[in-house]
Amino acid sequence: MATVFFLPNTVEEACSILEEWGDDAIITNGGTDIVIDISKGNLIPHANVCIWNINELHQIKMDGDYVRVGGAATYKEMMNSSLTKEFPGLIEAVSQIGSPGIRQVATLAGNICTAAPAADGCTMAMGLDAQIVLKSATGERIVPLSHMMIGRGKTKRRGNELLTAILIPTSKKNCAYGRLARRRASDIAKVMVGASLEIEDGICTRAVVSLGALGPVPCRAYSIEQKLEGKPIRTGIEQLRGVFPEEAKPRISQFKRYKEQALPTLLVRTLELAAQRGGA
Amino acid sequence: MKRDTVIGSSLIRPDALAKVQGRAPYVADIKLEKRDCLIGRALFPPYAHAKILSINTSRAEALSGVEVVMTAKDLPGLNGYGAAALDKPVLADKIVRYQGDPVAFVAACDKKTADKAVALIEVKYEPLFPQTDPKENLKPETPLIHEDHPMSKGTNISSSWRVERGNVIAALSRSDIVLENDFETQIVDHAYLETDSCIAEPDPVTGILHLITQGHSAQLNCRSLAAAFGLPHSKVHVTIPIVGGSFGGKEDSNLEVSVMAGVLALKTGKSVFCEYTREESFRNTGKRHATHSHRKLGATKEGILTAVAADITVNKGAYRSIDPIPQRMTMYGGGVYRVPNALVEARSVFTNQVYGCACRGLGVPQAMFIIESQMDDLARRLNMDPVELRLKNILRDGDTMITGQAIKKSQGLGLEKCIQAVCERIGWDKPLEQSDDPSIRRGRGIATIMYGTGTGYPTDGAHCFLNLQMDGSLMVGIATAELGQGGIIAMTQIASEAMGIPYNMVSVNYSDNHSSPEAGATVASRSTVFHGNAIINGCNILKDRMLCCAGQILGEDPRDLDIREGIVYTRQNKERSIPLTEAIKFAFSSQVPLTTTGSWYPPLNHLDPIMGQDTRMHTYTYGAQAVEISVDIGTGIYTLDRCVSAFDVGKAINPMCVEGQIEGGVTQGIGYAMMEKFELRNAMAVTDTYHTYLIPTSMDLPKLETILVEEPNELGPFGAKGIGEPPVTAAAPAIRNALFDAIDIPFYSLPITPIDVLDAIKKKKSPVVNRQERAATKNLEK
Repeated sequence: MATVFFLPNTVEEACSILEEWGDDAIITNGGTDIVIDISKGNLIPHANVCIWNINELHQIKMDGDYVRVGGAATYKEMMNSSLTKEFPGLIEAVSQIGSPGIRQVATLAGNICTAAPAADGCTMAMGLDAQIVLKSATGERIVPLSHMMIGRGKTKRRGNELLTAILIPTSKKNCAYGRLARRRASDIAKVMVGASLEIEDGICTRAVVSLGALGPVPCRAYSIEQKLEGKPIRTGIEQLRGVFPEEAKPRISQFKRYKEQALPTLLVRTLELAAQRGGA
Repeated sequence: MKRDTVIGSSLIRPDALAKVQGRAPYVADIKLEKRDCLIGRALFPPYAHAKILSINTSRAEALSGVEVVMTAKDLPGLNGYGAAALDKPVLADKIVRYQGDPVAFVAACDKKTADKAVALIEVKYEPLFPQTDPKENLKPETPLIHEDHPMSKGTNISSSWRVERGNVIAALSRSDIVLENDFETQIVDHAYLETDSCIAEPDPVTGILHLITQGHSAQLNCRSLAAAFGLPHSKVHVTIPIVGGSFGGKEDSNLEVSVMAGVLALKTGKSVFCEYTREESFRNTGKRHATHSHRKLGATKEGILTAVAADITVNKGAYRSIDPIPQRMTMYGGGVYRVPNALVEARSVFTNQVYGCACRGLGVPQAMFIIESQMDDLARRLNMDPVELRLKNILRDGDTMITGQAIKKSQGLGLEKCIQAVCERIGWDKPLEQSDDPSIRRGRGIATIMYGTGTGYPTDGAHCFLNLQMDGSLMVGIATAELGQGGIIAMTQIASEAMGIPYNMVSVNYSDNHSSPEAGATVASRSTVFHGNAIINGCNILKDRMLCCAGQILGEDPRDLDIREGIVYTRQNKERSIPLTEAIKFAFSSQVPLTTTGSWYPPLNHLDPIMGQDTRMHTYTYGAQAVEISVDIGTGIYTLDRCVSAFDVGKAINPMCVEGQIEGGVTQGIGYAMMEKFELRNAMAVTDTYHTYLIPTSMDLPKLETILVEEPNELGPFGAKGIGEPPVTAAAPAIRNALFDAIDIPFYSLPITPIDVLDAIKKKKSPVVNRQERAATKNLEK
């Protein structure tokens, strides 16, 4: 079976192709995940829609109270953008993904749509309470990233939809990201924590905490957020020492015990860093 | 005349620019130039141990584009090949002994077709229990992995060795302190960049089978494979272009693709190219042996070593491959120390998993991890500085190893100098600065090593062909392979110096069994010394002949003449000189041959095989390595902050290449210590990609600080000793000892990952404190 290859130049063009092919099409950009599956023969798509050429999707720009990261923006583009650079945790996350070569072509949108368990960019974006813009030929809808992934490799994106943007609230700039891996570069982390804190007069008014590599897909640690909100941030963090978030459900593997042992430490450290950035 | 010498000069390697620019041809590049080359692929079993009940190849054969499908019944020669024993089947016949045993070969017009054909082959297996535990396989009731092994009859033991000296039992009972520990080391992959590949081309005129392949010796490839091809050695022509990394692996691992390409080429009469995928290379090819050691170390309360007793079991895997591991682990059983009483026994045991082969260091990284770790345990027990303990016990001029070999200063003994050099550089005498971060503990560790130059076998020696040209240039035909170590430039420098001609007049023809003599493989850190000496010997023969001719022209006694920069001159009166070319022309017209063979042998090893007493290596390279680490006790992640290495290389022929060898080896040692582990489940490989099999990146390394110590070896070329393997051996114990220093936890198995470190910290009952804090507590108690 041959794969039909599309290289649209506009979002409209891409959406009309997706309208026709739906679930039979895969959307590719950097291809850093999906090409491995294709080259191993695990995936033989009917249609491959490469969105690299859609210039508007590479843009990173302001959009009201959000920074709008286009659905084709690469990690490299995010690392170079003055807008995303204002989120230190986001830069911490994306600058540690893979290798320079990977970051040159891989995208945050791809990271989200792949819905892999250990996704740095996706985990941090969730810790920023990012919103996802899904567009089709018939309309557009916004889904919170926290609700986007429904299982390993599965998202709420419909076959005819294109992820056109990730919206990052500008209120989340006091953020931090922590990851633990077995080596310094080119390694999938075993524990990931993303956090953003809104602090007023030393009191945490809003906390968003996300976890990666601790379940089938990145998830929010709502139990931790609740323990932080409404309290002086230092007190809040202090009472979390040694706490293992109930939302973390590491599967049975040789790394399970490590995840259990190391997550409480990384959680507190990441929160402390975010608090420090928030001036607390 | 100016006495310039190229010895000790960091000349740029001839291969460097071509490699950096991507122009250096590796086997797969050469294949691109070949038209009509078939692609060979193999079917591997889904089990590590199984009986083959039936094979049906008809659907594969029917596929368009398929040239031939071969099973064990279709082979041209012996169904067995190998470097030390012809025990590895070309194609599995009735049984598969590990997951890398091929069951069928396919040659087709392209890779896609070949892979498709492989998938169409139907094989019925009866799965057998994979016997993966060497200790179980030693039990007499356990079935044999090989029912009829050419060398191991009626046992699962591949090889064994013992070294006995003095009276261990009595000495241990008299010792003030006896430490007793178990150590485990893991399987690691060589992680060479270039996967295994070979082009086989049958020659319709001569009947020769040409193999363009990889390896450590073209002659060894030929010897290992000829019987499988049913050809005399003279009709197997092996050339080895530059190799994209090997580290011992391709001494025999690449024979897998070579035998496949060869039999397919013979069957089809056409050229065949075979190349492993990265996954196949990981799953099938040889690895560093995993070991288990039980070791007792005795000492007096003053810290003088009295005795060592060790029992070592090596996981051999399915085939013998290269197996002096028990011999090496026993001969080095006393480390770099005087130990008057020793009983060290080791054996390697067949199992149903990927075979252990040569891997940079050949058993010594395992041995040094065990010995040097236990030395730090002893230092701790004695409350003595680890360096002080080592200096009390190291081998000095005239001391004997546990093999009874006396160590001679005249053959280079720079051990103490190496220890002093690293201590001075790292500031061993000064307290280690601790971190302000309350979760960081810092520590310092040291390890000392020795490593012999050469294989130590009575067969060891080297030869070369020298061919002087009419224009005063020299061709050197040599068996050395260029694996990235800088062999070509080192041989060039030695020939240039020995012959007295500019180095750009020397041409080294390497790795071709039709143009160089059998001279042992590019292994055992031996090439510079062995081949270098053979080149010097050959150059001296040619030089004597040319000086006789020049003497007749000049009317001088040849004994008063010498050659420099291509000029023959009179030592007493340098004005009286002629160009070397004049002497060569005179020789040519006087029927004096311009070619010769150069040879060199180390002193013969006198062996007592019962007690393992011998004089196995004529010289040893010594080294010391000191490291500083920072451990994050909250995550177990530790950072190598500094790594200082000093190696006594006798004489660095090309210091830049020597430093390159050291930095590369140290990096591999760091990987061995911190992260590398080849894992199997039910004897099937789990870590078969670089995604799962981690090696260090440059981000994991500190600046590697390298010190060259030069204590000349009187038997080496210009004083040189070997440096290929020694650098890989010290990092693991040095890092382990630094961890012990930093967090007060001794580790006894490798690798030591952040996962192991955090787990050990969590299990620790007492607070995690470093050496200085321990010392402060002790003072308070006093």
